[in-house]
Amino acid sequence: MTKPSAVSDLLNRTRAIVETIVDGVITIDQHGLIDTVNPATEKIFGYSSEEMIGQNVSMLMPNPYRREHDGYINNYLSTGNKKIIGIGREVRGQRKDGTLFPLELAISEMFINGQRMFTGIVRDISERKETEEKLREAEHRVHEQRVKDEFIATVSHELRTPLTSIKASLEILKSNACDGVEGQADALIEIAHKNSERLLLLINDILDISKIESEKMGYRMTSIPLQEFLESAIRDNKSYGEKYQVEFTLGEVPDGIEIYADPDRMMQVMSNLMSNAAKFSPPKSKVEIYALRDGNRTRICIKDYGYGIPQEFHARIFDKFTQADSSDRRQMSGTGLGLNISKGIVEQHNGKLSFTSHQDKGSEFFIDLFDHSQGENYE
Amino acid sequence: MSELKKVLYIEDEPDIRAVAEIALQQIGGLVLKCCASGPEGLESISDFDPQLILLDVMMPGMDGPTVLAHIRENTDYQHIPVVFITAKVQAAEVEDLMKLGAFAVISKPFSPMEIAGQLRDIWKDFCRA
Repeated sequence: MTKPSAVSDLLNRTRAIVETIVDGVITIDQHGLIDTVNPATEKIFGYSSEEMIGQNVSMLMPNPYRREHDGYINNYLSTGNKKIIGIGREVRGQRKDGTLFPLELAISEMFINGQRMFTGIVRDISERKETEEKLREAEHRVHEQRVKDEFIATVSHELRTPLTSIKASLEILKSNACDGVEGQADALIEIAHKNSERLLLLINDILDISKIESEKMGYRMTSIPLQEFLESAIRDNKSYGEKYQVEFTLGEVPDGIEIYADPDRMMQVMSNLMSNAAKFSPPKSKVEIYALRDGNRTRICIKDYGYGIPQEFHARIFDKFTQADSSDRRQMSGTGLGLNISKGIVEQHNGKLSFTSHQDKGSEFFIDLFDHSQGENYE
Repeated sequence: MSELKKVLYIEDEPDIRAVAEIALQQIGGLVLKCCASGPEGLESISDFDPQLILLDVMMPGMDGPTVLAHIRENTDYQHIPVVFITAKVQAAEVEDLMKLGAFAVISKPFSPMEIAGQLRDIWKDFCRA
């Protein structure tokens, strides 16, 4: 049998532990009313013990937990279903001054004199959360900077490549080193000209990307009859198709459809998708343009019967400076930026650009635009 | 010290190959063989027997560093100095290329009037090393 002095000693020790522990210790009864709190609880929540004892513990929680707390206890008492008891979890607490903070809460159940009681251990984790958040922000900044650095390095490389041919051609011409070699001067002029065109395309695309990313594209939105728009796209890109011996055909377009878009920018998207389709199609094949209507969505489809996009490239297709085979960029006179720009333009129309593709069967790109009359989707 | 005469240039850009041929062969007086890809370049080494290999970095299929790794793996070619020629010109990028085992790095755009002289200087440094 424990001696009275030993009991008193044990009680003193237990009290000292509870009163000096840095975590808050709260006991509540089965009605959710606070029975005891330790000094750490007062410090964490800003209430004195007198203000808390006898009150519902939900006073320490923000809504919706505050509103629903009694329901949790009743649910446990009637079903035995433990949602939080015996399990630690992160929740939000509310201080006396109304401020919210993250806390770790562990609840255990006990019986004192036949009365069911619950003990909650609460730990204020604001500082830890703040540190974690700062770390996440720092990591994000490092990532952003790395992406930016990589982009600048790639841009520098892509600009220097045509510039190498231009500069070397002009220097050779200037030196008269090719005098007397028939046709060489003309060939060098052609190289310089072709590469200056490539440089110009690249600079224009980089400017477009910069404008899209800084949201400074400045769209002139207007209603455009879709049938006329697609007919115009086919007319405008006809000669490009002829270059690759590919015919653009216009299929079904639902009657009376209008899209709400910047006509020049949306035509830029069409030209990009149509030129890609032509470039990656075999000669004498067709590229079909048609449209579908589904609810408040208009879908413009550009379908080719070309080589298709390799599966492993699908995830990167809209990335900057990527083409399935980087040699294509040169052979097919692209910058590797067109699809990234097109996606940016379509998304800034609150639309979506997507595709399906099967190797050696062809690809189909979809521009999904939503009716401006439905509100929300447009500025 | 031998004189630099034979250079193998591996470069996927046809226009850059065209100007390099004039710069190195016609202006620079070197015997040059140009190849359009890494595999083509590797195949040419035994027949052409170059003193120095000028190698582009970014090429489709097999890039410059991979070509260099193949050259270094082959005991018959290990002795040939490889010079990267690249539009990747940031200090860290050049440092990385040197770490891969390149003897030197020439940046693009290059001067067609000077590039042969640059290669001869690099060759002299290589022979002295």
